[in-house]
Amino acid sequence: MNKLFLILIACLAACQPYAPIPPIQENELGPASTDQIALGKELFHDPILSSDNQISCATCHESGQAFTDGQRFSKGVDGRIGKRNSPTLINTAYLKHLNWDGGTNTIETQMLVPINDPNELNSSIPEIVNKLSQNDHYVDRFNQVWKDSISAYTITRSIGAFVRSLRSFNSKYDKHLEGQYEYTNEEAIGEALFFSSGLKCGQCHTSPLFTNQEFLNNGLVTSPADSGRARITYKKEDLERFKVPTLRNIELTAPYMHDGRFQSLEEVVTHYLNGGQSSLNKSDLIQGFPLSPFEEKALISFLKCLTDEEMEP
Amino acid sequence: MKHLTYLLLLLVLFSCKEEEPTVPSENETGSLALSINSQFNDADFSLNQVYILNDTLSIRVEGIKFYLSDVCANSVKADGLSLYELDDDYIFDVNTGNYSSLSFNLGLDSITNHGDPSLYVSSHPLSSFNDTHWSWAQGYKFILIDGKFDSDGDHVPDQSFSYHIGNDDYLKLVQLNTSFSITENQTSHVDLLFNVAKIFDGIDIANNTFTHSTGQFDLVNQLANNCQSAFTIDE
Repeated sequence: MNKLFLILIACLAACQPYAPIPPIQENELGPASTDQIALGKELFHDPILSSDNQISCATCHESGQAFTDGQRFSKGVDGRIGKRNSPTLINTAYLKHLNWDGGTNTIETQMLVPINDPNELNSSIPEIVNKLSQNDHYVDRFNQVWKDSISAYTITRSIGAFVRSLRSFNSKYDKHLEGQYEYTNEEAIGEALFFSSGLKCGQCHTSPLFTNQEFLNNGLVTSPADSGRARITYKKEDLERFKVPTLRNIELTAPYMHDGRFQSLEEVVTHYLNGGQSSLNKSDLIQGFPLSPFEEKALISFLKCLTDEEMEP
Repeated sequence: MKHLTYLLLLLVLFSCKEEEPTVPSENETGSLALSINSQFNDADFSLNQVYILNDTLSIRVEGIKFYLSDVCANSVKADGLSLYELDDDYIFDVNTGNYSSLSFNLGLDSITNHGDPSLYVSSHPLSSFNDTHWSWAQGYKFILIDGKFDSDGDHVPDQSFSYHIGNDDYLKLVQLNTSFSITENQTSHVDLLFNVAKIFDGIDIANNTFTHSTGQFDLVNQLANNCQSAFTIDE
């Protein structure tokens, strides 16, 4: 029965469940050294980067939660609340646009956003260069790693090296693909549903990154108001559109959506099942679909197959 | 890394069409010293002084900066880029020859505009140390004008205004006719006038105290056009 069901769904498959891993978006230096990554990791976890020395990058991007923080909106300096949900940093190395609105296009330019944002680190590159340059430990570390002084360049390339190193392709989904893991029936049905022409999940959350890196509205009316991609492009058609997020490690990255409005994967599936809200610029792909309780459970089982349990904490 | 920075500095610069100068010279260069003298209509201008705009509004301009790029003599590109602040002179390398026009961009071309400020040493006009970069949009502020105006009729400028113009759409080309010669290894001077009062032409400051180019695009465009037309040759 289950096999017949799978064959039926497979016949209706709308999109390719497996695609090769794309090249990394390297910076001008190419692959980073272990030393550069280690220095970047140290900086990433050091609250010296914030104006009050209390908040680090890791405050909102905790390794145990796939580099998110479990909050709807993150708290920055002085408990100030940010405006969008903290995204995972895993596999950022492959992304062509960063931030929910795609305002930046490299890891090195993206990190300037939280550094400068008054609701996040509330600092600046000149302030950070100054503070690190007065710290003997960091003067030595930068000298060891870069044979150069502490500068905007060496700071951003260090943190960039670490963030670019956060890559994950060791989930059950990947292992299944390599023949090292056999899906349960429920997981197999979930995968087939995910990539089916009925649900179309895999049309935007495309393999292998589980994002097509486009900007779309998935049936969300923003509240509080958020212009989304139009904040960068000023185009009406981009109002309330956001970057399609990766679904890798989705089990670990609640709450969901650009504003963290959904606490659970069940709520997310229900949103799509109902065809979302009547939002501005809603994607034509968001039409709603019928789903039995078993199918809903199967779909979520498959989503949990995207968790990399071996990711180094 | 220094190699890299140097390489990128070269890449940053300039896109005028390569054309032959009046007297062609492919290898010989001299220097063009560009001075921009600021005025407030017919009066000399200084930052933080109070001026009367349109005979009615007391105004104090506390900061003016703008990017000056793609300097061209006739259509021949010069080498250099500046973040202009008042009372500074800037030197550009230009091929030798006789020229009849000068042009430059107020702002930065799209590639430079959306580059990475961390690639530049702190003293460079495009580094993060100038506070001219919008990190959230990965773009530069082309023109920054900040100050205060009198909001209650007591002639004391006490309410802030802040106009930061950016975005590729508001890059403005300034073209001026002027005759000058560039001689090998010599520095030639061209003096420009920048009329600060002109920035505010047609601007209702009291009702438009702020733009960071994220809306009110008629205001942004008007300000950019005003700055473009504020330059003349200082004869």
